[in-house]
Amino acid sequence: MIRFVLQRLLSAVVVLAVVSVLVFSLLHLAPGDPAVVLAGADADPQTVATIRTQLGLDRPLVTQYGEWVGQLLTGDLGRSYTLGQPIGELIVQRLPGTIQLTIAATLLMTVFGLVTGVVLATTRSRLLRQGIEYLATLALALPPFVSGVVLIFFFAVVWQVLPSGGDASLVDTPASAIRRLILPAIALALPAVPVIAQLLATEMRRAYDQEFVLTALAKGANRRRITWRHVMPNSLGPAIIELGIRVGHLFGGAIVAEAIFARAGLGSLLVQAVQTRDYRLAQMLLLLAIAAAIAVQFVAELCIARIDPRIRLGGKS
Amino acid sequence: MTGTAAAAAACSDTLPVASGEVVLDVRNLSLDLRTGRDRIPVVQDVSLQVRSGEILGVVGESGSGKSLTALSVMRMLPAAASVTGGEVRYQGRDLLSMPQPEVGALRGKDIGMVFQDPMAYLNPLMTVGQQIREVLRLHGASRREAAERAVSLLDLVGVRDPHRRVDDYPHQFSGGMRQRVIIAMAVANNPKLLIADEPTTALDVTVQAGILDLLGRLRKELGTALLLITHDIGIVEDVCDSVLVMYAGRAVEQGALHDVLRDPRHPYTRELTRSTPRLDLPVQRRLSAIPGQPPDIRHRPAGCPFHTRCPHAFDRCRDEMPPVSDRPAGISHVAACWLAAEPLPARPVATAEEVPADRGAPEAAPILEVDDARITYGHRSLLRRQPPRPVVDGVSLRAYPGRTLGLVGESGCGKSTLARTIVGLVPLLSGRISIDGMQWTTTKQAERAKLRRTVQMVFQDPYQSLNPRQPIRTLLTEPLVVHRLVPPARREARARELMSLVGLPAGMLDRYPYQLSGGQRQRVGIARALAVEPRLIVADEPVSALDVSVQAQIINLLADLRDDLGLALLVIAHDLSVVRHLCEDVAVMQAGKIVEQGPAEQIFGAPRHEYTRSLLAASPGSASSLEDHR
Amino acid sequence: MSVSAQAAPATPDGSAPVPAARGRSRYLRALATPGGAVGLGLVLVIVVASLIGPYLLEYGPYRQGPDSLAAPGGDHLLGTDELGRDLLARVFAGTRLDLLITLIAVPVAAIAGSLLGLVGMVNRPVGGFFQRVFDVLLGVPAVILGIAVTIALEPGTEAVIVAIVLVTMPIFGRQARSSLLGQLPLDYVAAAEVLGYPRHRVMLRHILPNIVDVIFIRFAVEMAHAIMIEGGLSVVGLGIQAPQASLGSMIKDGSGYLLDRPAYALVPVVVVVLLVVGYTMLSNALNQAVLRK
Repeated sequence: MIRFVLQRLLSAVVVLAVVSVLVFSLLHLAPGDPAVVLAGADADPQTVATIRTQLGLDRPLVTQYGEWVGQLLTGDLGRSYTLGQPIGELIVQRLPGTIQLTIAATLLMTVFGLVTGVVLATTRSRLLRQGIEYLATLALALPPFVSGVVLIFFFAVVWQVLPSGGDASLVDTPASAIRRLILPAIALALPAVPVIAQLLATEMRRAYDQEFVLTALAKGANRRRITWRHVMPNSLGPAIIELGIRVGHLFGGAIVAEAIFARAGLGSLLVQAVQTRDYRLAQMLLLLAIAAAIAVQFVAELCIARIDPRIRLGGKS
Repeated sequence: MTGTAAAAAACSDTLPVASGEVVLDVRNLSLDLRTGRDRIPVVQDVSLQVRSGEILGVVGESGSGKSLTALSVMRMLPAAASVTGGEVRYQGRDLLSMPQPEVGALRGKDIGMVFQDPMAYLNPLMTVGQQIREVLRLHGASRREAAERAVSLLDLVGVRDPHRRVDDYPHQFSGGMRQRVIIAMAVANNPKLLIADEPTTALDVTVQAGILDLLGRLRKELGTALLLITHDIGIVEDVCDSVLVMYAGRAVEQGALHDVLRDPRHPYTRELTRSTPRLDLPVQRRLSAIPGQPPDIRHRPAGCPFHTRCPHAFDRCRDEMPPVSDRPAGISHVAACWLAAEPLPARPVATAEEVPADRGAPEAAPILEVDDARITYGHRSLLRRQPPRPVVDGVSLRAYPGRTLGLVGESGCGKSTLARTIVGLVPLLSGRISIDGMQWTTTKQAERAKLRRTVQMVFQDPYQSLNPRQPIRTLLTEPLVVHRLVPPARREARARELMSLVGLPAGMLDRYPYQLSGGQRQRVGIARALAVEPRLIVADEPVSALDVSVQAQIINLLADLRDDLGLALLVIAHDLSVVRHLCEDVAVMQAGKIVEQGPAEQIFGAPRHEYTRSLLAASPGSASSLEDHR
Repeated sequence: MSVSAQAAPATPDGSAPVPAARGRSRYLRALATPGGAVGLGLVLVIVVASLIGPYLLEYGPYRQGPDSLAAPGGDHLLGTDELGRDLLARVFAGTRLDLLITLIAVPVAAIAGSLLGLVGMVNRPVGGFFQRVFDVLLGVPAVILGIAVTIALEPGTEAVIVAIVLVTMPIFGRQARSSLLGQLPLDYVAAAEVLGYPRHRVMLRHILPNIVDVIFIRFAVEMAHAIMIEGGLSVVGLGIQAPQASLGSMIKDGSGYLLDRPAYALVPVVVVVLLVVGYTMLSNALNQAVLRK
């Protein structure tokens, strides 16, 4: 198990390193001189030159990258060019909103995804199965930018039961904060639920067909025991991996949700950074989001290893 | 004394046949299978009885319905199958109409079941101990009782160090050990009836002997009735008291083992035993093969299902299914044939010339020379300290034109790897392999191409070895195209020649592999190998994936091709009787090394190495010095 | 001395009967199922409507007018947006743009991704390298990848296409490789090698036809996915820029006017949903008919 963990950890770190190089070089991939881009198209050469030296853009790329990584590792995340504040501060300010949203969406996704999956696999009612499958096809066609607008239309505009967005502090006004979380969390979780449910249902159906189920039947076990003791543990694997991927992608989805529901969070900060060409800030946020996604997938893989003794213990003893 | 010989001894001298009470009584059982929109009868009107302390063998090929019959006893039929008639009684109780909870109470307690592939039949996420305890606790044992009994059960079935092993997971056991675990679960509650569906098919011969021995021992010690399903007549001969022969969903013959084998009353039974190569009889020139193949369940012939392949068929056989009839004399030996009332008409096996024991020495120079070959899988990785152990560790062989070399051994011994290296699929680590003077390590393009045309391979699995998207014609002409052997105008003619060489009609050229039976596909595979006119053919388990009644056809085909074309054949097989029949020279392989090599009559008649001897002792059909089946 | 006389009979003898022709007809059979027909129908209707619709309308998508956010009726069947432009015309234009983008990006991603995924057969280290690249790309959420692209290239149509390609290519790459790995151990591949067929022949003539079905099915799914990527990027303002219209950008602009002119945002929503549902149903039908055999 240790070996497996270390292997996966190493892999995650390597990916992160490669991604950091790519993120760093984004600025330089853009056509044109980065200093000009940062200063603006109509800035005078003097300003451009100042910017160039200020930000160290005149030095070799490798040195710039090295410096950047060095600063990162010592906790210095840099300074936002347009907003003036240290990036670290900005992140801390905007973090809670995004975290709340992510957690809420994760909870919804996990609970509804797994429950629906079990129901889909075990129900004998053909009607129920068909119904869920139609709803699933529909839900797959409702990415956050679509479902968000629809949800706002019905719940905020027509029926007026929930606010259409905005922020509220969870500490000071919990009820208001939670009300503002509901619609965006649903919008984010919606497309993931049918995928997870169908994955779990497919795996369970496949597990039911496995031969060890016949053995359990031959021992006299009843259907219930077979489902929970034999089939479920053997089917969770792919569903957990998919959950990991989906939660990782929430860091991207949150950006869309924050735009639609006018929430202040890391996502809207990122968009703003790109639009104002505050590239230092944008790069840092990108890196953060990707690192979070990688971390979540790593955790998912650890869970799988924990459940499956073949991975946990390695080969033959 | 180990192996099936011991099992046979356990059977024959202690318990008389048909002594105990009837534990399982199946009468006129019929089953349907739903495929797509149709319902097809898969089992029709089958009856059988098993008494306590008795082993009933149910033998049949694919499509015979034997497995479904067994599953129906435990009411474990797949959703698509259903009972359409008949009765199944366990100790007088009607199993088919019993309410579900009662059935659950019987399963695992009164009736136990052992399946074919132990890895798939054990839950990979639960320890072996948990799974054994499960069957005990489901039927009333307390936690402590179950824990203790689980350990003693492991001991009973021969698992060493049971106290420690009880907490291991299935993947930490070998195949044979896993099967013992399954047996432990099946007998945990001392059932009166044990059903074993192909319990040893997935296992090596020596392991198989151990399992059969265990089953026999349990039968003797616990008095269990055992219903043993298998396709291997050799196992039936060694271990069973009575036998039921099934074909195409019907019971065609049943009775006490000696009666059925000594005086078969159904042509299928007789032809089946005749077409199976044996270790205890002199080798024949050609096997008496049954023409055709077992019918597809959707297209069973009307009347007697065997009549299309039967040498004694006449008009009535085509029109009416013969009833199961009693012999006038003798205890309960019955057969479903119009001719069952009398012993079957003599049918001298036309090709039964015996082969001289000494098949002579090779006449020409060897076409294949293997010298001290070492082969290994995988590459060094940063995490390994030493290079991986060689799979083939210093093997030397010779194969001659017009002769067959048999390479036998159990799984993991390296024979398949060696075969793949000889045909150039796997690289040699060290040593030398020379085919007609050429080696795979050559750098000359032309020599490599020539080498490809000199040695070819016939694969084990006829379902996988043909590209499913190509019609037969393309499969046979592609080698001609790639090697530019024949001008375009001549290709069709050559394809037809190849088809007739392997006994297939030219009309099949337009078909796709999925439209052919297993035996036909294997013939196509052979034809494809012949297309490049090789001098050496390596056949890796050429018949083990085929139905028993079809195996003889392919074996004959290989022998004929060898004699007519002067081919050298290297046959890899685990089935010793096939090797003995086909091969003049035999090499026995164990753990990457050849432990014994020599002429067939010496290996089989007077084996010197201990491993060879244990292989022979474990092979079904070899212990019959104790029985007389003629 | 004759070769084996055990000739198998020429007529149906227990081997499987000859069914309807295989191959392309399986795809047609898929379209005959209710799911497949509806799916294909939805997609076709929307495509055709967006192409011929403009010829039936009075005004084009860029013509600004005096009536801001006018109600549906008269010359403007759906009303107008805040700059007086005809909404229906803009919806058609947006649909066309989305279709164009996806019809460029997805096939490029499919071909490039699949070929790169299969490279491993001819050259193992290169194949392995691309798989690592794909693994990295797959670990990044699509929106993030898209935003990263807009940093390098300015936000706009180009960036959206590149973003879709970058997100989709690894999916095809990984799938092609896993299909390849599924076929490689099969004996017919070994047989081809033993028979001396050159590697590229084996890959193109033997393996590829056996995995191409999965690629087509994935294609339908990714067409739907691509629309969603465009939408996600445009909705945050980093995708298609004004004055161009795309389904995503219209949803973004229209979401500010849900009270007054709901059709502004909701009609593009409906188009997106119908398109995606159509693609999904199509791919499900293909899945059933083609892969189940």
